[in-house]
Amino acid sequence: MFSGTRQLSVKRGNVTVLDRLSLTIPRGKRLAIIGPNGAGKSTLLRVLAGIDRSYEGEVIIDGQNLRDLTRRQTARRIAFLPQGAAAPPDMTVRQIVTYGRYAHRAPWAIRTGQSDRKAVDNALTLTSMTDLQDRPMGALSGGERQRAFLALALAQEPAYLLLDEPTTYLDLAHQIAVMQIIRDLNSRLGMTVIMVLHDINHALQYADETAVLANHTIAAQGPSDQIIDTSSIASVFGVRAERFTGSGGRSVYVPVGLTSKANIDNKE
Amino acid sequence: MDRASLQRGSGRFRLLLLFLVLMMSAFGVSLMKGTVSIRPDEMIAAATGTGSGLHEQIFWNIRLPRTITGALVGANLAVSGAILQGIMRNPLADPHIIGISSGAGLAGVLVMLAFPAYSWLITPAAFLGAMGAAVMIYLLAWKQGIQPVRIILAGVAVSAFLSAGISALMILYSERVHGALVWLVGGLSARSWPEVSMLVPYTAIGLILAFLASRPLNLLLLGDDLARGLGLRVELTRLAMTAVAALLAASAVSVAGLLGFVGLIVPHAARLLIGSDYRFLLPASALLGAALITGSDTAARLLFAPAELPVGILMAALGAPFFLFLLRRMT
Repeated sequence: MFSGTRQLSVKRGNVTVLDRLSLTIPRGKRLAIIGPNGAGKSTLLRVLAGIDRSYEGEVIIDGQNLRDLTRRQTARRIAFLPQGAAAPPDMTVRQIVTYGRYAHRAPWAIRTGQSDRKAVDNALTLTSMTDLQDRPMGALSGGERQRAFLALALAQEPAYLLLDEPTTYLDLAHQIAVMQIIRDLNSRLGMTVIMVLHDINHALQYADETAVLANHTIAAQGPSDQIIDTSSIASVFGVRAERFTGSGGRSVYVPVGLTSKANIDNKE
Repeated sequence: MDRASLQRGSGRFRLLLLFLVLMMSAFGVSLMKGTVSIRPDEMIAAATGTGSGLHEQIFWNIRLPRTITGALVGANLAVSGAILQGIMRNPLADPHIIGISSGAGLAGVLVMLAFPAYSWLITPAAFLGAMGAAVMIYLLAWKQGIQPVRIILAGVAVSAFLSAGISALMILYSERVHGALVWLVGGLSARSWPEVSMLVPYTAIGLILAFLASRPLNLLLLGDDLARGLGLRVELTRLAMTAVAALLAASAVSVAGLLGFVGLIVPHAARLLIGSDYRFLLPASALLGAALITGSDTAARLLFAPAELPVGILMAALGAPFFLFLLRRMT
């Protein structure tokens, strides 16, 4: 069954954000979306999540048109974690994670059901937040907070997990911890992951496929190690990068400067 | 559930119980104190129909309905403020400050002055006025989402516009203006059973709807995108809850006039004490709002006895500095 977009266009006033974009979502895999600032990565993710419905063209999830799904149906299938999510600091982790069950029961329901509690427990376990579940959100470190939000998304028991720059503002150790949780979720639960990433090396290391967003459309899509190389980095980001080979033969790219074209742009 | 979360849960229930006791105490004092003081035993006698005629008269016809009115008005304004602060994501949102009360006031004054024969229309008209003002504020403040500061600015503008309308009406109907003037200041003097029966249905509907919406209100605290992703229909929830907040504020305004700052002070105090979870915040706001108005009304009655201060003046004296304090903390 097809998941992805066909001829997807988004306009904000007269400004084109996405232009007749066609993307195929590889089911059961991890897809990274990379591209320069302002390329429309967040917009694309919000459209795929069903949050932003002011688009033309089609978004298809498991063969179904996204427009035909209600908010609650969408929420049971797709979980979306926006960038810089925030919560009232006095609410506990468990309470926040329980909100992931909102679409699974009546809006006015007071009590949490057995299946809801199980899903919340599961989500806490998968993100190693069980011990912290009674902490108020305000008492967590940035990395713990991001794991709490990840648990919130998992409590929805989605087939698709959409993440907008999940490692922003995190230190190196927490970045790796979050990316490893995401990789585990995919390999253990078969969850399809789509994530906007700004670190090319993260895309190489943690994504099966990478889609490059440039000039309002998908410039290239395919296995990460085939899509990402010095020439694509130069043309998409305007950055000269050097390739190193890490352990296991994996490629690592280190940006060393701007390409000459970007240099000229800068001087103007 | 483990012990820690149970404790926290029961701690919040205990706080609610404490607020209930506080509200009942304020209620009791309000029944006893005034130009004529009634002792507890005399009050019980009056309540059971074995007291002196004067005490019975004061208890049944003056103090009891007035105190009930005050409690309901306080609860309505506080819950209205708690809802508005959540859906507008703005700590300064309060039916009075952002002009929802002015909308209700303008509609109320219009009925009172231009159609005095149809006084039963005051509450429905006030509701429409409040809702109209809320919608106007949204339209003015909307620019790719709701921005806290823009809402306040739009509210101030709408409020000024509506107040100008009220002033114009008062000048046009200057021969009937006295009643409207007393009403506008915000007070509870001479409020009796007709006002109680006018308030009760609106209060019941408004509070029940608000409590049922605790969970959607909680979801909105996570931000629009996250709430939408969790399955909430954000715009619909906002619109519906604005209507509930307007209904509560309008019913309060239609019996007690423009009582300011209750909807600002009480939800803040409640949030500090019991947290931002709406399942607890709403009942806490209702109880504390009722306690604050009955208590303040008693104080306003006693401060310059035998002269009586409208409770609205006392609330403004308390509330304006609090508003400035919040504003300072916010920026």
